[in-house]
Amino acid sequence: MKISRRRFLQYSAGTLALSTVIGYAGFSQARPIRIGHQLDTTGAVAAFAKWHNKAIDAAMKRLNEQKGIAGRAVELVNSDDSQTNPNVGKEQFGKLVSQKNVDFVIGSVFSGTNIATAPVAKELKTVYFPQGIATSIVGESGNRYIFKSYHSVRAAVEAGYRWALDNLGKRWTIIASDLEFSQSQAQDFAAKVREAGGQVIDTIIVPFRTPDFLSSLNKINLARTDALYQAFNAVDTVRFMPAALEFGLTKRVPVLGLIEGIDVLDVNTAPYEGTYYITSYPRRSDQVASDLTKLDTLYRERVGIGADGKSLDGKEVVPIADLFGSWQALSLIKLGIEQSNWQSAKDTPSFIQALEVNRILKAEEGFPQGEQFLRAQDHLSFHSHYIERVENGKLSVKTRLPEGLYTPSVDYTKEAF
Amino acid sequence: MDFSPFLFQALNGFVWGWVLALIALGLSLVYGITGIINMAHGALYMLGAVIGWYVIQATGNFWVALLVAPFIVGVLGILVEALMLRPLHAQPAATIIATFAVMLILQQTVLMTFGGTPQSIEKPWPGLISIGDRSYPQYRLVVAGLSAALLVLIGIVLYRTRVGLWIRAVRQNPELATTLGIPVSLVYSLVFGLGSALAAFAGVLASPIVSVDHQMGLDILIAAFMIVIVGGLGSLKGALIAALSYSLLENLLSALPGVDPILAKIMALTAMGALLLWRPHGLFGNATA
Repeated sequence: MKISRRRFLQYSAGTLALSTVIGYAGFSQARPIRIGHQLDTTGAVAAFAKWHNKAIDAAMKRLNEQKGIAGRAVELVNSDDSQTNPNVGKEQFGKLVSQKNVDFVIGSVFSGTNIATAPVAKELKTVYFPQGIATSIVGESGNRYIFKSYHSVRAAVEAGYRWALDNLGKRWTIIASDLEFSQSQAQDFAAKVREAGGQVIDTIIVPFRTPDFLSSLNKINLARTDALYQAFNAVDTVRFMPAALEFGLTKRVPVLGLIEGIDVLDVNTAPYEGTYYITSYPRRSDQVASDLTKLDTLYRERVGIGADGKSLDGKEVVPIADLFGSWQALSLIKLGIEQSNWQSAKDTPSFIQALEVNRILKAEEGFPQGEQFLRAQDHLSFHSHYIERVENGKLSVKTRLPEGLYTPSVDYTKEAF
Repeated sequence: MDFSPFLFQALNGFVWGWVLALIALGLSLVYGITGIINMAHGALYMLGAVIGWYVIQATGNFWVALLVAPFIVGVLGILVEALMLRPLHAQPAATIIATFAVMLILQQTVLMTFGGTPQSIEKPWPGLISIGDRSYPQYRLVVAGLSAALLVLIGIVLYRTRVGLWIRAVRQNPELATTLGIPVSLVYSLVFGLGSALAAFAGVLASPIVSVDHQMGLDILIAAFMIVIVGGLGSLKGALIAALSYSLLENLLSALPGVDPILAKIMALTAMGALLLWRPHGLFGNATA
């Protein structure tokens, strides 16, 4: 069809008028707030990153349906592949800020990348929400530009150790890979066991992604060990647990770990039966406390997670708890912008100061994980934890734990901008 | 004193050595005969495991997967050699880059289709052996046995058959082999295909132990190269001895009190490095190989 000049002008005028009307109905004319996602499309955390991206997208849709933040739309800007590689991730962060003009960045799930990126966030004066959970990210490796709306390893260990010592045993062997995520756990758990009068028989360090776990299992002093703490991520756990069953370990000593080690794994097989996890949210909706069921339904529906904790097609196990970090990062951004009247990058110091108030964040759609406490000094928010155990192939809540508040190792509020 | 930890470690070192030899076998063959440094070896091993996983999902039978996956990967290997590597034969550096590209393509394709989550495969042979108060999975002995059988079979093919004679002739002097009417291009294709199939075979066999994910090839690539180099270019006997001694050394070292598995690995790799300083062409290699 050939379009005449007159027709063209008519169409253009119509489109212009229409878009103006839509614009006024929805958002003000202000530029959208651009949120970058430091996205690992490939590498060890690719399976997690994909779901974080979905969670961010879902949280943004919800915000935009409610007229965005301070009347401005929010917009997701994905980085190129950060490759689960600290150097690449750091570079991608720089590109997000300087080339793609993002205002805030939600970070990689890989702790190594978070640690490498933190100094760049400060240098570029951009607030960064890392999604890895190694303790040092909200400690000595972090800075005033870092906020975390989901636990650190230390908070999880702090929440769970007392229960573990009272119920599983006093003498512990710890087995961990050489990843930052695992080392963080090994050190924090050992410190807590000793502090509580328990005993650490041994800490066994295994190379990340080792193909053969039997020789490492053989190092465990079975005669003296009451319980085993395993600090592996999914790739190692999926090798370690079957080997532990065959070796005869699982039936002799209880095994405890963080949910992060299995949160993309189906636990409905023999190697996982009877194992314990410190978790920060129940995988299955029928395990969620009654005060949170309404929010649970909303969160699962929005992100696309079934009642059994799997994707809606039933093919993948979704790291449901982990995703709160990304969802709630957006809620922190909203809170900070509203409290500080943030307009653009120059207001970032007042944005940070607005969030640097010890504050209870009530359980609501923005914080569906449950009530939490945002601490001023280390910019970390503390939430409930749970002990879950695999029973008949399903993760079942044994107890709900307090939030695992620990003494902060830093005070970012004293740091210059 | 209870010796069962040492006994256990010695057994595991010996058995895992055969598994490593199997993993390195395809690489050794391709490297020794065609001179191609196959960076995609680990990815072909991974692809074998992934195809195996799909076959097991469809048929429920591990042993079917063990036949189907190597066949498919073997055909893929022949195609890769014919279409990608043959034009580059004269340039070893180019084949490294080409096979590296194959590795990346396979890894990313698997990530896109299979996903990033590791998947477990149940052991087709669940029995256990007791060693003191510990138990050892019989399946590993099955894998070691199959590895030994394959090594013998490859040895027979190389030294007792006409095709084996061709292969050895091509390895010694490709130009002369051509003048004698040996189809050199075909030999290269077949050897690369066989090497790929062996990688896939090892991948399927290892998958119940290491589970399946798109990066599993990287875990074994370094060990496989080390074994092939320490063993001496293309020497099957050398590769086997290198695999066994590396695995035994690593396992026995990590049985020592105060030596973590990670330290044992560092020490074993250092020892292998030292061995190369002493014999730069490997245990069974020579300067002209």
